[in-house]
Amino acid sequence: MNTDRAKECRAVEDLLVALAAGELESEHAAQLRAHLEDCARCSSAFAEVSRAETLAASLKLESPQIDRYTEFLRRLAAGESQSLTVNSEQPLEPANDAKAGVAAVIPLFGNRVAVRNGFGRGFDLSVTSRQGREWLHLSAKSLTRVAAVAGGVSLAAGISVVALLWMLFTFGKSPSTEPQNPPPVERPPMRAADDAPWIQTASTAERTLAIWREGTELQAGWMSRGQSVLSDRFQLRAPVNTPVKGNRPPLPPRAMECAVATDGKDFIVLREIEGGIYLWRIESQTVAPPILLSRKGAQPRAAWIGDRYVVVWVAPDMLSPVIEMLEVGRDGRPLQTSATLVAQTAQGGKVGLPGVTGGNGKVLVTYFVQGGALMARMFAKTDAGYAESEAVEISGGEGPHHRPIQLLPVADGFLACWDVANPEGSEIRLALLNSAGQPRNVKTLARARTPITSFDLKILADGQLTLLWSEVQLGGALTFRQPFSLDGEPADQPRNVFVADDKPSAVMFGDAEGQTLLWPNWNQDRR
Amino acid sequence: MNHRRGLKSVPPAPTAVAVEEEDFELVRRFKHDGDLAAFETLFRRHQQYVAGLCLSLLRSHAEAEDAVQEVFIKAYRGLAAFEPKVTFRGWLYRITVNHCRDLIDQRLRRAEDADEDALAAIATLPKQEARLMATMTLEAALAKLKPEYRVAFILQAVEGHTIGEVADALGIGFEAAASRLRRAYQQFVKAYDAMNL
Repeated sequence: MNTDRAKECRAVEDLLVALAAGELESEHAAQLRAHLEDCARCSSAFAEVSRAETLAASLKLESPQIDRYTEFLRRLAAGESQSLTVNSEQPLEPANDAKAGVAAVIPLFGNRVAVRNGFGRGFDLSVTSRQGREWLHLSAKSLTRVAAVAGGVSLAAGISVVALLWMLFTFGKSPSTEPQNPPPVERPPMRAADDAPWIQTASTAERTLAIWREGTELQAGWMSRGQSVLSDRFQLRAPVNTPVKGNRPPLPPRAMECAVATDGKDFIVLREIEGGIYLWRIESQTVAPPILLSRKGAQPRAAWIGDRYVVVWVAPDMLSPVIEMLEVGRDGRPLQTSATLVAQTAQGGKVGLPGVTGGNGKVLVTYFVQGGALMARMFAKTDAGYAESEAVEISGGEGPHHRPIQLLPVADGFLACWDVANPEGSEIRLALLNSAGQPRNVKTLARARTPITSFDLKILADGQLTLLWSEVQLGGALTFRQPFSLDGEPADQPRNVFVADDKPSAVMFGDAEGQTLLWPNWNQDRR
Repeated sequence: MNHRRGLKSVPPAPTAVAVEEEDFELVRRFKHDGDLAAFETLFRRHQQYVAGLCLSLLRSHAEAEDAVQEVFIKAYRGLAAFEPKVTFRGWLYRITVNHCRDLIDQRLRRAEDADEDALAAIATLPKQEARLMATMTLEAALAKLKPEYRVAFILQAVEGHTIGEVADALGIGFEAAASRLRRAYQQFVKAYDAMNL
């Protein structure tokens, strides 16, 4: 091939995509086609372009037809966009809503008072908590902008004082067995990741109860030993008189808001609904009506400790949330008239994502504190109640956590398993605690460069520890399984056991022996 | 050869022109009168387009939903500087592509080796799940493209944007965009074939 010909081929090759896309004028396209007829190399390159076009066609993804405007307004008012980086290529104005004449956002008692001019109806006033929950929304047609701002601020200040007084008088009432209208608990703003699929399980020797989210409902289903599909599905619905706060559709249940536990025969399911903790007892195949365990609580967890359940949750407080604990009988009824305070932090600090386990008269409660440190506290049952130990730090701060911790009792103590995420990737950690709840060792069981979307730790009949975890990879998620000794040493290499083409994915063990897997799949049966 | 001169010239459809003029009027109402209802109309009119583009570029529903919100917040804040030299959708398109490119770059910096690990895992999978395998392989081939090729490839080959629009979004000339796309096609087919050996 001479130099001129090679040059021509290079020029033609650079335009093959434009030719295939029909983006050249007919005369120019005809010249190129004439070249292709004479040149086998360019002709083959053109065939490659056509093939790539065909393959690329199946990469088209369909975005769901949903209205995202409400979420947009919420983020705008909550100021979540403050962390956004402004691309230098875009000549964006600095954020200054008031200057733009469309909105004013004023911090007030930790809340945000937003006054907006618009919506075609005059002025809008909303009061939003620091966590993004809108608890007041007013519209006015005839107010002037200044009057709306001034009036809105005054009104919001008054409402804040009334709300503080109301919280003072209502906080700390004893648990009730009758469903009542719970006040709202502030929850973090709903992000897209909160909508991720999840599944939780509790297994006896004979069967497994699985719970998962389907739309805005909490679904449950059974898997009996030896079966490979879930059967007898049912929904765990909110009591009919549960009010939905604000003018919005019900929120889908998130993993951290639901829990399932078993006493080895029957099961309980816990769920936070509109700021209250509800408990369903499931005996054989019968589901009892829900009991309202606490009118103010979130992130419930439960464990059977040999003769009773212990339920823990996060309760709102005037200044910062606290962790509370309540004993519940086999029949699902509270055994105490008021919950026990487990943990609170200094003013303004936060605690969350509690975990609980126990046995032989001991209860271990763990929780994360603001900054990410994992704390543990042991409670020993006495005739007079509980003797509690000082809280000890199991692991230092490693950023925010989003998934509940998993706790398992072992012969000489407890195991705690949780995941952490940082810019370098994700890790699953295991802490070995002695019978007094003191940490002996913390190990890393698994590492991923991408987000970990679920994990499940189980002690199998042979006494070996088995970890199952899913991580996001490319367009799907891979699930791995790896055995460990009880002190967290790998007993074998990780093995890829499942691939999902829909991410993120959540996979859990479907039985006590770790022989089956369960995962949510929105289009097919669960296995 | 002047390829720009050789570009097909397609006059915009009358309905498209009407929509663009309505967009300009909505932008004007938002900018000058502070009319949030106008922005709401703009949002609802273009949200599906932005969501589709984000999903296509990011290949993740969760990340795309987040990105849609961030794109519109950027648009909300930047609308004061918007000049009707381009269509509102064209302006949104540029914000979206730039935002997604930043996210892809950030993601790659975090997980440079993840693709390799995943490919190794995929290679060991049983062949019975053909559909799943095919999708995973295509996604894996896409992930093998360099970010600048990947974005151009998705915009043109998957989303159906013209080469001129790709050039505009990436801030390069038509010839450079056409040439970049040719190399992207080449890399994509090569990566796909390598995984099917």
